[in-house]
Amino acid sequence: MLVKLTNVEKHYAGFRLNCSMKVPEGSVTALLGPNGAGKSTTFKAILGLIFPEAGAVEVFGKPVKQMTKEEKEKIGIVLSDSCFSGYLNIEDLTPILRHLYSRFKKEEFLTRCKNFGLPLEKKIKELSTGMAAKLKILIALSHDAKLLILDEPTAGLDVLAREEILDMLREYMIPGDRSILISSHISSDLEGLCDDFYLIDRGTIVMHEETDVLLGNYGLLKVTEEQYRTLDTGRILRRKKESFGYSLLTDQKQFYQENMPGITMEKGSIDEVITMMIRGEEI
Amino acid sequence: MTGLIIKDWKLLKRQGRYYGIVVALACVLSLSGSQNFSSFITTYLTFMITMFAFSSFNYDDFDNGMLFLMALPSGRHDYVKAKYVFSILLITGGWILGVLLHLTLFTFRFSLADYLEILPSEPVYLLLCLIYIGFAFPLLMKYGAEKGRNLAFIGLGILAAAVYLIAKTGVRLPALLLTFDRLLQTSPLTALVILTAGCILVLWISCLLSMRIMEKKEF
Amino acid sequence: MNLIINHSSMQPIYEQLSGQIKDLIMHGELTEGTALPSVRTLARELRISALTVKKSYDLLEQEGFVTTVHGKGSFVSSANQSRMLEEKRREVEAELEAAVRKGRSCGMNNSELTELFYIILEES
Repeated sequence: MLVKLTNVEKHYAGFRLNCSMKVPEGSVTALLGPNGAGKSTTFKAILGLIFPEAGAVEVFGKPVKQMTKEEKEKIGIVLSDSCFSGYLNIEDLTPILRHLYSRFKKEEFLTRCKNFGLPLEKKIKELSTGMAAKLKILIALSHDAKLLILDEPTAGLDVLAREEILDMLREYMIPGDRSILISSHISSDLEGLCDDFYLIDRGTIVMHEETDVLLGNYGLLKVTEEQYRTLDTGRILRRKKESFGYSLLTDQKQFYQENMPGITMEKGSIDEVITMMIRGEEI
Repeated sequence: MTGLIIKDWKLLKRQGRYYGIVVALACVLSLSGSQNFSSFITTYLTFMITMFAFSSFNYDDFDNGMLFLMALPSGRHDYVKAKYVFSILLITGGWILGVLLHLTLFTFRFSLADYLEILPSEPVYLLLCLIYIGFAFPLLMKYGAEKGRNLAFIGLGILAAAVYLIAKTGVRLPALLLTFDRLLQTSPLTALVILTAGCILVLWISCLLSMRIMEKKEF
Repeated sequence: MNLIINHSSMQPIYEQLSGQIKDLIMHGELTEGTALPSVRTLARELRISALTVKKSYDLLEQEGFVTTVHGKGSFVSSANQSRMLEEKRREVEAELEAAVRKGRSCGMNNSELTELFYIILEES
């Protein structure tokens, strides 16, 4: 297990985190949820920026507090609103990175920067949002990391830039012993990358599912009031009142497809599932 | 740790122009002053570069930068060590420049022999500035760049005001200070050794304290 | 390999994938001993989760079309003749059913259908 959180608790004014999750080796795991749900808090706990009041956070099998510098070098980090000082440029960063990470690959890093059209002499704060985002990822990928912790790496990017970054991550995963823990608002990106995901809302994990199962077995039923009355609600997870009746989320769409052939059923996309899990009523 | 020092250096280099202006200004003022005033250039340059050392904290605080810095493999201890090493090297460098300029300008206006007489007092300014960062850095670590620096200045201000008041009222200076002053005149080497030892002690304790503060801090 | 995933289809992706690979194997486009792309490489190409690819490979292995060697990858198995035949037989059955349904939908009765069937048998 590359990352393991067991009953990690943390309180702030008006907010309480209580979370357990795992990232196995060779896996791309997503942490999804609305703003303020606790994604950043969870990431901070994993990176040792905050200290949980209860529970255990382990990375590479060790409590975070006991990690050595060498072990920490194996983690590549992208934080959504924090990076090296914006007054530095890529040329400045190269010797800095070389001394921070013993396995920093200078030539490869510079080549990839050039390939993405990142100007080496421009200060980071003068780069466009897209370029800055790509730079952050290239930095995280530049030192042979075994684990990537990415907090909203694609925020504020257009579709093309997002796809480029996702492809970089797919390529990163090809040797089978690496893992990624990624958080994002744009869940649809993750359908094409992540193996499983955790949904967090108001500090607790409300759902953990494999992408494959979600896309394959989850479905959104759209029924009228009448249809709802005769429905077997045993396999319904959430219900939402609509103008036409109800939207229902199920994790066994095959059951309803077989037993109610005429029914309106939509495939569950990650976005829809999230919305229903968070906003819908529990059944 | 080296990586962090390089980062601080690269950031500070961008302010090089300002320090250049400071140096030029100091030279002009020094040239127009009396012989007694000549030490101004050393004290001024050393103090100004100490201020620049403080500003390295501002770059880190800016734009949430500390989150990322603390997440790096170097961690909190290396961050603290890097700040001390960087600042000590920087301030010493600034002091050396001050001394060289002082020597050049002094010899140009007065005489080398006279300069050699005041030479022993030169290191005092360096050591005092280093002792100052010894007191100030833990404040910067605990309260952040802005607030910490303000607290450090207030502390310095209070000290300066106290010294001024004491001098004004003619109250006898504590025996310790008088002894030190006499020692500086009679046996400067001893005085400097004592002051250096004190300086090292203060910096050592300060560094440990800073590390303790950063260990506990959450970001 | 030319694999096409239909993301809007109701059929789970891993089923689509294993179905298409099975087809390629049965039509001889993937010969015995050919190595399938690594899970991650295919996941990248198709832009889907690696677990999905793994599931489809596992399914193919279960059905005997593919063998996975730990550390090396997945390879097309020795042509499982009886399996393939069984698959083919099932396809024939399905196609005949479809033909019958069509016939009925345009009003043909059993004897007409049977007659047609024998004519075709004779001719081919």
